[in-house]
Amino acid sequence: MKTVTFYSYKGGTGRSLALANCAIYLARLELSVVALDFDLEAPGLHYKFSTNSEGKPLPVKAGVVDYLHKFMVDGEIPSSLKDFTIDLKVPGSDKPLATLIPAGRAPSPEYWSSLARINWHDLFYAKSAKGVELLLDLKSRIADELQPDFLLIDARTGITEMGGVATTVLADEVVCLVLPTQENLEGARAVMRSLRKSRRETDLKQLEMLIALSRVPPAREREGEKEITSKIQRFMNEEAQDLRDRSPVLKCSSYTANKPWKRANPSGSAVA
Amino acid sequence: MALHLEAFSPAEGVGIVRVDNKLRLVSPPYSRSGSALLREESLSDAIVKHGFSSSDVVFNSWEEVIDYLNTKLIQVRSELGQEIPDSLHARDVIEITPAPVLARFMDKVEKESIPSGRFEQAEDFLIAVLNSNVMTQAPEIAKTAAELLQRSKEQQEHSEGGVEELEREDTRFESLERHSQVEESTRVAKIIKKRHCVFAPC
Repeated sequence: MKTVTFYSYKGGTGRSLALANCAIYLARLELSVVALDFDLEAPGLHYKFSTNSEGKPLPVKAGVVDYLHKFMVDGEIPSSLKDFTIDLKVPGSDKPLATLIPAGRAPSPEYWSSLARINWHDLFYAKSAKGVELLLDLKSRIADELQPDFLLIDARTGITEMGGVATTVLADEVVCLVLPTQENLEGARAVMRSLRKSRRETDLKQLEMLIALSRVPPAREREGEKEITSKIQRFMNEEAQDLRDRSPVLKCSSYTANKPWKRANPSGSAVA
Repeated sequence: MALHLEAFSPAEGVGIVRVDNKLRLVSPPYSRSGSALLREESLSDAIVKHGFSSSDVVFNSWEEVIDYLNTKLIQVRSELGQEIPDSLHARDVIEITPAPVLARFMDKVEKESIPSGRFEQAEDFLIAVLNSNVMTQAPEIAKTAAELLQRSKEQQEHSEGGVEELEREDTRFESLERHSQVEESTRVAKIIKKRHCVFAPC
């Protein structure tokens, strides 16, 4: 199983949609996929995979927040992942598309209440904290019980605990979506540098990182896609003072709405 | 749901509660989700080794437990507060206190305040001594005050660490065990705890 985390420093980059498109693309190649929604504060994958013409979300029984809550409140690890998954089918057929592990029943008062009761300090930093082990165990269980070729994780924007675990601990590869603005690029570069440092400190295998440039405004298209991407690639690969390594690690490609594998329908879901 | 408060430390606002036949540690900042599960033997350790008071009070909700611990905490702190003189005034008093009387106060700090866990009271007094003219007028007393201050700080750290040392219920991560990944996971978790940030500062 290869784990690819989709990350963006700022919102509005089309990160979740890119993940959903990627899942569909992999399914077309007959590769099995599990999509995991770690964007707990603003979850949306259960909308992206919906085929409902009105844009209604998939019915969710339980998700990542319920899994964490069960562990923190009851001190138990759920015995099966079955209650936390939704099997997605190719529309109009029985052919499997992907398995979704949603964040939970969002938006609902119960979801926000459960989320608010998760104490991140106790989960990751207290002396008895077991959050890292819990999430690595979850990844291992996904590999065992669901046996996908790919695990795609939708990580929270910015700097959060769950975003950190999804990128620094769980990922084999990180796809970082950026908009071509200074605040996006500087934030994303700082996080990418931090990821390299994290992997060195924890002695884990270095991450593959891919910068995907999203939503290039028409005014900048005149510059040409190649010029913009190479300029951003240079910026992202500038040597950091405390990372004495000049080898380019970040490949850069653009992700725009007219790519052939983008199949968004008007409701915003990715499933055609 | 009956919540049995089996032991508590009023000075720290920490309680050990039995609910659904499981022991849970409740400590500030209070949140039910943050209450850790404890091993059964931790209850006797808390009382014997870490100075918790045993209790048989039963509550109907977590809110009642937290209210009770809060009330006890405020009560203990206010009792200590009444005995603690304002440090500036204390320095004035200390400077006119004859050395033999001051020595008796030091003795009281050593034999009563520190052993009973009244560290703030002890430290306020000792700091006031070290800030006064005792340093030059009675260097022997100043030296004792410095030693007691060090001892008080060490015992306070030990006492606070006691709550952390209570053995938590072991969680088994079976999938990690099957793949022999427990050790590596624990190592990564330790680095993150030490760094106190999931992302490495860069």
